[in-house]
Formats: sequence, C-alpha cells, structure tokens
Amino acid sequence: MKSKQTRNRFGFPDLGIGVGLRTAHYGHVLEQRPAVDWFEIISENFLGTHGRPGWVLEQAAERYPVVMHGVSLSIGSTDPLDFDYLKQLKELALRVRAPWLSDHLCWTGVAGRNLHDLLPLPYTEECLRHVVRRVRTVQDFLERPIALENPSTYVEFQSSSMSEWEFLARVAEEADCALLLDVNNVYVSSFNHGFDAGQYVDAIPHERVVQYHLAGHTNHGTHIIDSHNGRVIDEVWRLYERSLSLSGGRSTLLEWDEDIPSFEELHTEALRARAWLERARGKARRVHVRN
Amino acid sequence: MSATSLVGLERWFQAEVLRPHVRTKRAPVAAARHLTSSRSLGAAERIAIYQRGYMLRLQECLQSDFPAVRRIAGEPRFEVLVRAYLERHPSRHWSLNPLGQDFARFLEREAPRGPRSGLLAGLAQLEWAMQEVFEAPPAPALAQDALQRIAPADWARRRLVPIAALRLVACEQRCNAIASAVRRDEPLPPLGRKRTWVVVYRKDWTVWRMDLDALQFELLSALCRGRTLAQALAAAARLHRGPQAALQRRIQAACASFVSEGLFQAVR
Repeated sequence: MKSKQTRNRFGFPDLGIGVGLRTAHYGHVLEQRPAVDWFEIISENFLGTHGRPGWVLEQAAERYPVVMHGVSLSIGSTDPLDFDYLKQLKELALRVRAPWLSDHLCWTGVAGRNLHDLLPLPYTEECLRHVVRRVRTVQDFLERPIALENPSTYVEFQSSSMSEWEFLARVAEEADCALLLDVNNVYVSSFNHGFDAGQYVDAIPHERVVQYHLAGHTNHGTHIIDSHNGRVIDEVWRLYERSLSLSGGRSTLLEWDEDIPSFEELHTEALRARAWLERARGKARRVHVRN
Repeated sequence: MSATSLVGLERWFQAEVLRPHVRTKRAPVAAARHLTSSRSLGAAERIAIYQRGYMLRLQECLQSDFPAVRRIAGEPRFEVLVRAYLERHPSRHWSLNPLGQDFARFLEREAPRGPRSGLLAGLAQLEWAMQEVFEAPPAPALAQDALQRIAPADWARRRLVPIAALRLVACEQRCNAIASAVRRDEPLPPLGRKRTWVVVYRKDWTVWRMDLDALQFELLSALCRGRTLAQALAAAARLHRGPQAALQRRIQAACASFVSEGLFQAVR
C-alpha cells in the first residue's frame, strides 16, 4: 500500500491556493491587494521586457510569493538548450525570489524553430535518457531543482515503450527533479488516449510533487482540448482529491487563461480546492501523530 | 538519421504540424506510420489538432498586435497575409513578443500586392512601434526646466538624449487616426493619401501617440538622431515658411511639449 507523503522531498513551501497573475487583473491586484496566497506567472511574459508588466510584477512580488511557470524550456527538444534563455530565467527567479520554477515535459520545436506549443514526446528509453540529461544540465545551471509538468497530449507515438506515467516518474527519479502534477491534464490525456486516470495518479512519486494545477477544458466529443477556460469539472476534483490522499496536500493553482473572468470569480473557483486541501492536511496530521 | 530516432521523430512531427501552412515538395509520411489512433480519431486527425493549434495561436498573436491592419485588410485577406508572413518569417524565439517584428517590412516589400497595400504597411509600422514602446526600458524624464537651464552659449553644441520608449512614424495616410478609430470602435476617417507624422512614446507606463506636423517631426527626428540642438533647429527651420518670430514660437512650443511629455532623459 502506498504510504502517504506529507512533505515534498525538496523542502519547497506549501503556499496554499494560488492563481495566475494575468494582465486583465493587474489593476485589481495592485489596488485591492486581494487575500490570495500566491501567484504564478508565465515566465516568458516577463523576460526581456521592460514595460508595465515588469513593474506590476515587482509590486506583486513585494507582497505575494510568486512562482515561475515557463512554456519555452523545450526540455525534450533535440535542439541544444538555450543558455541565454536560462540565464534570463535565473535572473528573474532571483529578482522575484521565486520559491521554484516549472515548465513542461515536452518540446516546442527543432531546427531553430519555435512552434509555441507543448509538443508530445515518445516515451522511449532514448527519449528518457535525453530528457534526464537535459534536466540535470538545467538544474545545475539554475542551481536549483525544477518542477516538470505533465502536459495534455493529443497523439501517442507508435514507438513508445512505456506509459506516460512511468516515463514521468522515471524522469523525475533519474533527474532528481520535482513534479508539477496537472490533474486536469491527467484527465484530458486519459480521455484522449483511453487510459485510467486513477492509475496515472497512483503511479506518481508524490514525494516529488510540489504543486498542482487545476483547470477547465473543452470537450469536443472525440477529444478534449486543454483550453484553460471555465470551471473545474467534478471528475478532475475527484482526481485531485485522490492525489491529495497520497501527497497530504501541496501548493495548488487554478489556471484560467481564456475567457478570463473577474478576479473575484477566478479566486472563488480556486478556493473550492480549500475544502479538499484541509481535509487532506487534517488526515495527514492525524497519521503523523499516530505514528 | 533514423526516422524513429528521437531526432527523426521530432523533425518529422514538426514538418507534419507545419505541412498545411507551408509550401513543400517533400512527400508526406502517413501519420499512422508514427502515431497511433484513438478510439475516436485516426492518427491524421490527431495530429491535425496540433496543425490547427499552431496557426490559431500565432494568428491570435498577430491579430492582437495589429488590430488596425486586420480591420482595414478584412478578415480573409488578413488571414492570407498572416499565413504568408509566417511561412517566410517563422518564429525562432522563445517568446511570442517579437513575432510581428518583420510584419511591416513584409507588407511593404514581400506581401502580395492588393488594395491599400501601402496603408496596411503604414498601419503595421505604427502598431509595431506601439509594441516596441510598450516593451522598452524605462528612464527618468528630463525636468521641465531643463532646456531653460542651458546657457545660450551652449545651445549650439548640446544634444538631447531621447528615452528608449519612443518611436517616430511617418505615414502616407492618416494612420494614427485610423488606429485610434479601430481601437475605439468608431467610424473610420478617410483612407486616402495624406502625409502624417506621429510620435509614439510611453509616459507613466501608458503608451501614447501624438500627431506632429512636418516641422515638429523633422525637429524631433534630428534630436533623436543625435544632432545638436543647433543642427536640429536648422533642419526644422528649412520647413518653415513665414516670419522668423513665428518659427521661434513654433520651435519653443514644440520643445516645451516634447519635454513636458517626457520624451527626453538627458542633456549632453
């Protein structure tokens, strides 16, 4: 029987419930100073720019913990790593005192191109070795562990020799990196590929999970697109609860990036996670005391 | 390179995602050779999700950066222009921010000619200037009385250093008025030829556009090119017709306006 983890192995703080820092809410965040636990930024939106977003970020980082979440690390690409990009990531992380940085287990382009999409990887031994090597290099350069997120995918490769969850777990173990478990993406991919989402969640090394993502999606009948709009559906909340029963609770973020509602509506949806988090933490404390 | 090696697979996958959007002589490799089907979709239908997503995402970015170009071109033509642009100028940067940096030049020199091609290029130039100004580094502005404190004997050799968040745009049409009307969802001004000049700048984190006349534009351009005050005044004076006193008033008003709007950061 899997034992419940109550702390992540990296000592990253449990920040509570966060939301994304989005342009539409800049004014509200600065003027109203809402009682939100933390913010997540899309790292690329604040690299190499000197305009108002950078100033807003500075103001926000003075009052709230700010975690960095990237989309261009392209950790699985066979193009060389971009060390200019990594240098800027590192500098930004120092400036905002980011508790951790994350990106996706994917690639975004080869031959110098960027398709600006989270492209899927074949789950092969060759790819595993390649990704592990690059994660270690990135972590050495950044001088800290990174968290990799499971992206939603719409294809599977004939050459894959293992499941996505086995691949993810092995990357995390062999590269000694953290995980950002996107529970909505587990659900979306399970629908698209016909696997058991519960089996996926159970197989994750939860001591490496430092953060959760929750989000809405768009169901087209034949497939689901990870559209990051709308509320979190019940099945995803149940997967979240299942994962919490194994991790004991972690920093949780609601992603809502399309058809963005008011800040109040966004935060209210995020706070639905509180009930499950408190239950998981309460159970974790009771287990700890009993042992 | 083996087709099933990681390098081979990634190159194949990328080529397939781009296939509907580029001209290629390469024969397609059936998606089913490398991808599985799901219970609902075949391999080709599954990769089509990425094919559609690629163009939609980049189109959205350019729609956001060039709303006036989109409005004047119309949706079908804008889509054609964007597709042609992305084929010739694909993204090679980790950020989407610079995606449109060559769009104005593309419209001017490379795009298929059509109605109001010149206007589209001018609007793109203006709208990209707004993006550049938005992203530029901040700098403290010159004090309001900075020019008055320059000793008369020093005027000839002093230079004004512009802020980084400043761009000058000269158009053959009413580009600034058109851009404003589009953004406010108001009726468009006449689209015919009329030479106009605009300074795009940032003040207090807000991007502004200010119409200039030819003399003001020439004066400001010369100053931004690093000319001395004397050289810039001489360049502007060549465009003046009328009494010297009127020229002096125009120059003084222009300089006062430039300083009060924070267009300069230093006197050298």
